[in-house]
Amino acid sequence: MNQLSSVAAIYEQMDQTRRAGPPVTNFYPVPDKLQRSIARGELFSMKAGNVLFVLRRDRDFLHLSFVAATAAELLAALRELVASVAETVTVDVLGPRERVAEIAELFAQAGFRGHCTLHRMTRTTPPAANLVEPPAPPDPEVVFAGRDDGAAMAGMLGTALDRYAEQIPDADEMARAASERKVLVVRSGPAGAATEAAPRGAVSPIAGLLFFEVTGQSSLLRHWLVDPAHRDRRIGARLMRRYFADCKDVRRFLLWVISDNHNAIDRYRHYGYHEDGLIDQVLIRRPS
Amino acid sequence: MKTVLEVLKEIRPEFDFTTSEDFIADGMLDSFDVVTLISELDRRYGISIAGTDILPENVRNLAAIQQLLLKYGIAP
Repeated sequence: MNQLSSVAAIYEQMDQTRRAGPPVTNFYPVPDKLQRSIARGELFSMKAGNVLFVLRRDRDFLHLSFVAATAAELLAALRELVASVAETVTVDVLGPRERVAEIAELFAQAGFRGHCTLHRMTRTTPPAANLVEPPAPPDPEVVFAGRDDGAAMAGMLGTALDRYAEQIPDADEMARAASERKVLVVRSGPAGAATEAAPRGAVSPIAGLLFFEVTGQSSLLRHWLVDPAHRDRRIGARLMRRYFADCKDVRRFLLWVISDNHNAIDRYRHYGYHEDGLIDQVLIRRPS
Repeated sequence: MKTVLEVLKEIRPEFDFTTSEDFIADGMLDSFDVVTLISELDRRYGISIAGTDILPENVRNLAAIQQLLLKYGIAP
């Protein structure tokens, strides 16, 4: 594995594979995100024949991306990879279900095991100008998180979510997201009030959060989480209402949800999301 | 042969691509869509777009996509 030093180097390495024809891949590069991972020394590459692997370190394991010219070449290269990388590796195989099954089988042959499947859900809305509903009155308890909330929010997410499947942000990413007003929160008590966990005058702990990203007319709901101790306050619904109210210009809302989380799926359907046919099968290989 | 606009419409039917000068910044194409679009252009026009050309700026708008296809000898 070689540590990557530039985004250009990744694109150059992709070239050789792509010249051989339409690729088999799960690598959908976003230059800004790649650059951040490179700056943090988290990104590595490995070439095996015509196949390019890009590995991103996340805590104590590696996320694997691949670009291969053919399925047969991918399988041969995977066997080489697993023989040389003595760490836990996860891979997200993304696409329509039938295509995903075909690629996932290659990973199974190379020693990976199925971990879980995520469904993408989409909610499309008409342009804001066509909406006739009057805006809801603002909810004063739903506020943007502050940069100082980064560690606490990352801790909440790390405790509640599946780190291999749900791309859990670390404290730095949550602090950055908070400073960019991408995280809505409801606190466990009003600001300034004394609670068991926070002395008088301190900001009270977070009872629920909703982390989202907006790009033009699209928005990705990254995480939506309520502390179980506060699940009787309709915090989740209030966060979601504020999210939609703040995203009046968004036409396409997206999220990923683990397929056996039926409770969450039902709630997302309630808000107008539906499964759009794209799935993400997460596979994992632990060192023997 | 379908036009670039028709290919885009198949990938993301909910958007009107004639109204945008920047499909990426306007949230009409994400990174997955970009790779899907490139693969679809490869398939429809019988070309192999190089990895170094799979850049947001090359699919930013209709003119950029047409310019990209011209580079591979396709006049859409």
